[in-house]
Amino acid sequence: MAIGTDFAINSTTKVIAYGGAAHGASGAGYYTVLELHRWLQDLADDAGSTGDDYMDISRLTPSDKQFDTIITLVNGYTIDTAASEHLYAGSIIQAGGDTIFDGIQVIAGSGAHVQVIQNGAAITNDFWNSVPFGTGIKGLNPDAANGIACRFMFKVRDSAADIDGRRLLLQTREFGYSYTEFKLNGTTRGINVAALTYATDLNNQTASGTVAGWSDVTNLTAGYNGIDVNADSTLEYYYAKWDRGSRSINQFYERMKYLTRRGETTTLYGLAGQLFRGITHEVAVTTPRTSTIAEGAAASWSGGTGQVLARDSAGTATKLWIQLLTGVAPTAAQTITVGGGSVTAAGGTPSTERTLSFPFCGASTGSAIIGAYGFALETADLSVNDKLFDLTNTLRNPPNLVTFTVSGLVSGEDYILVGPGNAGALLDTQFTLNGALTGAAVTSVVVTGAIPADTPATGSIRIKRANGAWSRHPYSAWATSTFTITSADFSSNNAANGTNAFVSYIDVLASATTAAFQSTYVSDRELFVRRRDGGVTPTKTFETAATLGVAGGSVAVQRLSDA
Amino acid sequence: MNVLVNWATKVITVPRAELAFVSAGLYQLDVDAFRLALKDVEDSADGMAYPDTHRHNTQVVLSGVTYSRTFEIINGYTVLFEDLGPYTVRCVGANHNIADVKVVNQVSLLIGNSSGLITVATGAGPTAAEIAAAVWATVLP
Repeated sequence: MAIGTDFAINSTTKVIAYGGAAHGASGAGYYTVLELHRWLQDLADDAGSTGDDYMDISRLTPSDKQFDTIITLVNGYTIDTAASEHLYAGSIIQAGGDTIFDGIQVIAGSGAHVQVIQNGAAITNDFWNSVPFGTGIKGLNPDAANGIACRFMFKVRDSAADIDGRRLLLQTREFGYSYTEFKLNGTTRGINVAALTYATDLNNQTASGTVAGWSDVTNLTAGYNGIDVNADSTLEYYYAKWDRGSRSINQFYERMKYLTRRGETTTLYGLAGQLFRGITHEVAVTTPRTSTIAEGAAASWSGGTGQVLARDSAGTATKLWIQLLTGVAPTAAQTITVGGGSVTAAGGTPSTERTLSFPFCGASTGSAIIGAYGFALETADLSVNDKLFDLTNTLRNPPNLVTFTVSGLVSGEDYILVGPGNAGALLDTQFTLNGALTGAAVTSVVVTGAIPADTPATGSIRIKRANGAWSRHPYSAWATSTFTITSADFSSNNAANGTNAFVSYIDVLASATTAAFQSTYVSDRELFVRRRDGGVTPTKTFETAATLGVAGGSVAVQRLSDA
Repeated sequence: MNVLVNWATKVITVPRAELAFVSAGLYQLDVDAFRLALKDVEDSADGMAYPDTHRHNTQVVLSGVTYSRTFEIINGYTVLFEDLGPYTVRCVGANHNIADVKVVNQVSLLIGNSSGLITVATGAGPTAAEIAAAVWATVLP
């Protein structure tokens, strides 16, 4: 179709309207802003108007060209919204500059579905994603040969006010494909280029409907929380602590993509999933502060709004971690209102911009995750190949957690003991007590020397009592040389200074066909495994040496009748 | 049957009340029941940290003949029959080595072992007189 057929000029309103075929229909027309200007100028030098194009030499000049990509409609001429959707490759300025449509050009793979986020909201009229008639590929005005997925105009100023400072966020979040975004921090006249990646994500090939059912993946802590990811006895702080449930690490990654895909409205930290990006800024705050600061709450200050994803204290916060939604990050001494409370941005440059990851959880290698800033899973869900970055942006590597499993057990009948081994026998001299145990409510057991780093975080120890018996004591923690045990009475039959103790890695009556323990691998450790069943159907004692190695270890017990 | 094990001293105590009364001064120990009682103690939380108290080979049927089970106290454990004055314990149900590990006290032991075909490492084996002398020496403390 010719531009003159698709467009008409109203003689009264001076509105230049589009009347051609709709997006996706046969004959739908799209024209550059230069073509519009040329057409208007061509009409303007006509002796008289023809058809529905009320423009000729007798009328005021309709348009002015600064550059081929910047056209100003003058003398009251304007385009309507429909017309703006059929123009590209530049900007249209009208109403004396009170209204501006700027050109957008998206560099991305062919067929990319592009979302535009403006003023904190996803634009629902995404006409630029229309499929031109007969092409089967979404994206208006593409230029595949030059890697251009679509070209269009977008209104960035209206009624003499820039819309959110003419800021636009363009993103691709198609499940099964790479997630990316491109931020335009204030469009300029002409063509604003946004580069996105739209390619198959080989680590995201599970059907969306299947991932939708993975509801056992949950965020245990949505907010500031400490996790000792690298097992150095010191907590690092993150804004999340996810539990991947029964999913592999890559399945977890897919679930994270699902929760933030295009169209997802279920919220994360109070934001619709499709808008959730993670922490964009760390903001130093100080007094005066009033009330408490809630996490997952909306925040506002002069010149911007955001969502608080974490704060280091509810009542005496010194840092906020936010996702910026509109405007610019807080500046020095600004009052930041969060819910019913407020806090003051620190002096100087209080806001530090943080690098985002797409998706928000970080990248998957297929078997490990490289976490985004401040993002974490619980330690039990991490492996030595995962990498996390805490809120100080320090890389934290989980230890090599390995599992030793004993299988072939009969629940309720087999008692299994796994202890330290030495030359095929139980090493019951693993520790010596540093201090006698004589109290009636002992909760702390100190041994001579350091407790090995591969000792499980929780478990049980055996302590030799005065009568020679090895009493079993669960412990909930250990540090350096001290086990924290469940309160135990040593006032009689006490344990003398220097008597022996050892870690009983597994020390239970079987409640399943397997029993296991997990610990941090340091170096190969010899273990001693003993299984007994002296019940109704007795079996011979099974004993064997085993090794806890870099990949863990396992033993399948034998059960020979001893009837 | 209930027995007590002192893991520090490795003494297995058999209370007289756990023996079957036969007649005045004579009690009977079912060695297999004794064995099962020990297994029940071994697989407890207390017993798991210690080596086995015994070794057992079950009875075997060959050509219609049932060869008795064997029961051997091992790993330095000893057996103490509760000393409440002189009485005799008759062992039945298995060939055993209880006499070899019995704690010497006022309790006598009727071993009750039976050897059929035995293996002799060297020589022609013991004479009848030697066998009788060995049994006599074993019965009397």
